[in-house]
Amino acid sequence: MGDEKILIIEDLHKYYGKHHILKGVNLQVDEGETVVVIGPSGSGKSTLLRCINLLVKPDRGRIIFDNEEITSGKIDVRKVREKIGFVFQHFNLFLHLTAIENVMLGLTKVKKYPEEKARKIAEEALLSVGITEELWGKYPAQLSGGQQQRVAIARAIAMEPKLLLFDEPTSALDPELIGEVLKVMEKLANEGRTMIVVTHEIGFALKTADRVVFIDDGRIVEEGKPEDVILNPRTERAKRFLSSIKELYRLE
Amino acid sequence: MGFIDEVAYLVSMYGSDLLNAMLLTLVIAFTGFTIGIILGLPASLGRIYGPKPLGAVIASYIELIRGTPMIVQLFLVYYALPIIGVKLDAFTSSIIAIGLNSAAYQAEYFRMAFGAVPREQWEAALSIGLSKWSALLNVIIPQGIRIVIPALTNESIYLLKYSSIAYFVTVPETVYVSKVIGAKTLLHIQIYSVTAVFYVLMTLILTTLARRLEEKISIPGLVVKGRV
Amino acid sequence: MPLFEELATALIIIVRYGLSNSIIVSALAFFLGLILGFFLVFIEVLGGRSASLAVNSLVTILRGVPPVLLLFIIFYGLPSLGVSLNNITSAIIGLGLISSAYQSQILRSSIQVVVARQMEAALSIGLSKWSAYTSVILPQVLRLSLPGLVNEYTVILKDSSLAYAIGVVEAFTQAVHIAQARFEYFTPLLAVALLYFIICFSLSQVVNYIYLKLRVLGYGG
Repeated sequence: MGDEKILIIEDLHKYYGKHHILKGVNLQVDEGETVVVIGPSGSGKSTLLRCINLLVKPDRGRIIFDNEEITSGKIDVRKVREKIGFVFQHFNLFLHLTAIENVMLGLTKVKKYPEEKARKIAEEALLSVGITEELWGKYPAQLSGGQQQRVAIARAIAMEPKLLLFDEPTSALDPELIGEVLKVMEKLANEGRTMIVVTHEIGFALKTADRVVFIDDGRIVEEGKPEDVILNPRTERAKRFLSSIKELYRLE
Repeated sequence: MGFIDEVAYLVSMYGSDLLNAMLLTLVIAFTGFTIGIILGLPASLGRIYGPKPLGAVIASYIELIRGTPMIVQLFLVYYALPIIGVKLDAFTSSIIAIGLNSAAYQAEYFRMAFGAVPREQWEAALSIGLSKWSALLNVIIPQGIRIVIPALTNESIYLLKYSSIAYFVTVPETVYVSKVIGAKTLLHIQIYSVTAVFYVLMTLILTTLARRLEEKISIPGLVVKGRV
Repeated sequence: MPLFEELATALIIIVRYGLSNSIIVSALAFFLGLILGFFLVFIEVLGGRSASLAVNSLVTILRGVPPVLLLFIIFYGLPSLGVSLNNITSAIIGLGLISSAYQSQILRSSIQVVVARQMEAALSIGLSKWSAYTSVILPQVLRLSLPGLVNEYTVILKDSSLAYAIGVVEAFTQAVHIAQARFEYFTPLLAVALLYFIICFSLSQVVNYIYLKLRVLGYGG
């Protein structure tokens, strides 16, 4: 783990109409770190992720990514997004393209690689997430949820991003398919990638996270090592949230 | 003479006139449809993704066209445009009026089709760094096209029928020529049956072609919503 | 402004002498289409294979022929078979037949939706099939079909202008007569366009309103 801070979020605020969703979030992520974000629904986790890759424009505060202040308004949004990989809860694969075409699209249209180079990179990315050759020509509708999500991960990592964002990547999956996706994410974490993962999978957090962040009502309430935050929460709110989750997963 | 003999007589006497008229019908319908796409597709994109004032203007145009009969629009183009110096012959007037009319309806069909592409496809496209244009071209439009096909098929069938409004400005298309033949020979039912068969046959051909096209470009998982 | 006065004059003449026929023709054609449309749906649902085929063929033909052609067939063609109808009746029957084809589709899809949701429930509280249809299915079918049917009426209203072809003096014909009498086409055409637009646009707003209300009630289209 290097001591380069790849991401610095300062006093981030976001309003949706009258709703104050993010109420001053401060977060720093080192290169190579795996940060897991947990919290109740509506706490602003998804919004936070979408602010980082500028799908959502923050109302106040600063985000510094890869030594660039990306909230300054003078940056090329697309160049920023090239360096950030985003994995969605509902996969969001391009429905009209096959698996391999999904991965190649960013390489040919954004990075402007020639087709053979794009294809090679795409094939490697797909193999690294466990999607073998016979699935490459399939359309999203022909793949299981777990396969679709892994293709989505391949699509994100093929762009060689400096930061990977995961927005509840397993929440839309049938239980028996969750494991294969978590395995891929574990592998990515162990490879030293910088990842921010919003999830309810406490087991994954305990096993893979370098740091766990608990968000409630638009603010970071507790932060620290996974064992500390999850097994010995200090704040009331964290305690309440985690006891109900742990009951669900029967971890106590 | 029996019915069949009368029809045979008509076909032999006026066959070539009818064929020319039917060809004209197809030309009018096809050209009108094409103008409709050329104007309608950009109009729908302008309405969804363009600045608000542009969208309002386009929407007003669409409402005006859809709220008035096509024949009124045709008469305005043919009889009223000369006032500002634009004198068009009957054939051109018909094509322009039909084209402008179709553009309004097609703009709506395209708009609904693009609206039916899930919002998340935008997010995904933007998140890998595609520009708005690139996302539109490579992700949204390819999906929207497949959704819009049934509506466009209906539209083409509609235009085939309504190419007949050119009758009112004495363009020698199928309905006009049939009426002339009917008046001449007094074999009304006979000639009209022939032309009715022509139109229905064309409709069936169009429908079959459309179904083939749909099958050819269909993608597993992109369900094309059927329209009545 | 002289244009405004001429416009108003034209509009008044059209409304006074032409609009009534437009409304009569379109309204009667609509109801004819509604009744025939229901009839077609019943035959298709209750009849066997051949009934379905017959209905589908009829619908294909009615949706494939130009309205003007059908008007000619009825007005000029039928007399040779002994059936002489005047032009207004011909227009009503012609437009009504075509409309029945479209209305049968609207009704059929509504019936399918409502039956899928409500038939089981109706039968399981003990209603007979007939009662289920009359007390549960039909009222909902009419409600669900309302936007489509009102929309269909605007289509018929606009098509009623085609009755000009067989000499029915409705709004459009009236506008053309004014234009021919004064050698000036723009003003009366603009007037009749305005008239159609006001009626059709208002009806389309009504359709939107009904559609929204239906969604609130849970009938989401």
